[in-house]
Amino acid sequence: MDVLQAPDVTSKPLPAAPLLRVENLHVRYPGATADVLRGVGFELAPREFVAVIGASGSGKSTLLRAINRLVEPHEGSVRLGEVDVTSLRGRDLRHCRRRMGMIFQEFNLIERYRVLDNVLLGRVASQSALRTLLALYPPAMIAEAVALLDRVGLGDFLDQRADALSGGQRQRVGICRALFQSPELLLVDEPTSSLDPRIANDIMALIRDLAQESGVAALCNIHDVGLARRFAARVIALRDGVVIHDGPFDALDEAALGEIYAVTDRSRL
Amino acid sequence: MRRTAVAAILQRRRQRSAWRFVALLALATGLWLTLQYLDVRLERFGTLFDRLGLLFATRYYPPDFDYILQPRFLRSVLETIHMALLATLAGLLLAVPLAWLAAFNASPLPAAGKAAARVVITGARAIHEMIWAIVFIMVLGYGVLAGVLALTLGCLGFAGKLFAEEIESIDEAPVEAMRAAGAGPVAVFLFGVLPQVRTAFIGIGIYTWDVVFRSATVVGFFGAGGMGWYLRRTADQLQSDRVAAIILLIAALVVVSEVISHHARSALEGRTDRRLLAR
Repeated sequence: MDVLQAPDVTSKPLPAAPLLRVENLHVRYPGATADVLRGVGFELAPREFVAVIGASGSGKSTLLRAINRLVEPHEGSVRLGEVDVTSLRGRDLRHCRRRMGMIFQEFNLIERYRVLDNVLLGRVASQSALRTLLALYPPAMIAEAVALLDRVGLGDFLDQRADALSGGQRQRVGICRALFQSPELLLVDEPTSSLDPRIANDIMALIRDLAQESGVAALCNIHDVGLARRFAARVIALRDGVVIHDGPFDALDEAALGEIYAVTDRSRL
Repeated sequence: MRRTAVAAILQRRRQRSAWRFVALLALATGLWLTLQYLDVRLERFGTLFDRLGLLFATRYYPPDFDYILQPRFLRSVLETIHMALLATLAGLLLAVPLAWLAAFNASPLPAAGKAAARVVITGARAIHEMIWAIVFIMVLGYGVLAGVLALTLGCLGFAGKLFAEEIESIDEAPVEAMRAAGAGPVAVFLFGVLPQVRTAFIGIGIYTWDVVFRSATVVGFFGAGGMGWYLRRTADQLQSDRVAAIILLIAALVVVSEVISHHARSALEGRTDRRLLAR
C-alpha cells in the first residue's frame, strides 16, 4: 500500500504570494491625542512599484517607518513574506530590516565618510563590527559596490567625502546604499523633495530602473502628482491616515485628486 | 556604461588600512611605555581589593552617623548647598556673555573682545577649583567667600567653554536674517543666536550644577567654607568612622543632586522631542 506519497506541491501554480501585507495599521506618537495612521491596509506583490501620494501630514512617512519599525505601530500587522514584522524583536527585527532598503528624503548619508564607504555601510549588518570599523571589506564586496556606483554614474566620485557632493549625487549614493543591502523591498521616502525638478525626474527614473533590474519591489512616497503618474502604475493615496484610493493612477480624476490634496485644516499648510 | 578599475581603489584602501594599523600600534606602544615608566605592577591589583576590604572592615566600619547628625555639622551641609547655588548662578550668568564674546562666529568684538574672553575662560579652567580656593584664602582669609569665588571661577571656566562651543555650531541662516533686517549685535545675539542654543545652555547649566556641587563638598578641605572642613579635621585626627560617615553623606548628596538634575533634563528633552514629532 502506497500511502506515503508526498503531495505534489511544485506542479500546481502557486497563487502569487504577496511580498508585503499591511493590515489595519494604527500609529500614534507618544504624547499625541490622535492616530497618525488609522487602519491602513494593502498588499504589495514582488517586483511591484507603487507610489504613495497624499498631502504633507497625511501619514506617508509614518507608514514607511511603521513597516520597518523605525516607528512602533500600536495596532495592526505588517508581514514581509512569511515573517510577521510587528512581532519581531532584537536580532530577528534587525535581520528582517536587512531585507528592506530605505531611501531618505534628506539622503541620510554619513557625511564624513567617502562615497564608497557609505555604500559599503549598506552591508553593515552582515559584517562584524570590527571589520566595518577598520574598513576591512572583502575585495569582492568592494568590487560589487564600485560596479553599483558605476551604474549610477558616480564612478569618478568614489573617493570623495559624501558632503562634497551635490544633492542629486548624494541621493544616488543613498540609492546605492539601499540596494547594496540586496533587499527584497525598497522603502523610498520622498526621494526628490530636496532636489530641483529636472534632477528629480532623473532620480525617479533611476530608482525605478534599478528596482526593475534587481527585481526589488518598491513603495515610494511622492507628493508630486506628476512624478507619481509618470513612474507608478499603481497608486495608494493617503488622507489623514486613511487609504482613500488604491489602484491605477488613471482611475483618479481631477475631483479625486482634489479630494486627496484637499486641506481640511489650513493652519497645517 | 564605464567601469572603474577596482585594483587602484583596493590599493588605496590597503594603504589607508596600513596607516590605521600603524597608528593603533603606536598607541599601544605608548600605553606600554607609560606603564613601564610609572612602574605599574598589574599583579598588585589582585591584592588591592583584599586590603581595601580589610581596611574598611576594621577602621571605617561602622560609620559614625551620630557625628553627621549634629546641628553644627548639618549647618555646614546647608552652607555647602548655598555656596554651590550661589557660585553656579554667578558663574552661569558670567559665562553667557563671555561665551558670546569668545565664540569665533558670533563675537561682537572679534579682535580684542574675543581674545580677552578666551583668556578669562581658559585661565579659569587652567587652574583647578581647589587651587583657586587656596589662592582666595591667601587673599581673603578663611571662609565662605573664598569658596564661592573659587567655585564661581570653576563654573565659569567649565560652562563658558561649553557655551562657546555650542554657539560656534549654530546655523548661520537666522543670524543672516537678523543682520539683513538691520539688527545690531545685541539683537542678533538675542534673536539670532540665543533661541538656537537655549535648550543646550539649560542642559549644560544643569550639568554644571552637578560639577560645582561636587566641588563644593570639598573646597572646605582648605578652609573655604562648607562641610569639607569637617572632612579634613576628622581625617587629620584619624577618626576613620567619622570620615566614613561624611564620605557616605557626600555620596548620597551627589546622588540626590544627580537624580534631580536627571529629571530636570529629561523634562526638558521630553518637551523638545514632542515638538520634533509634531512636525
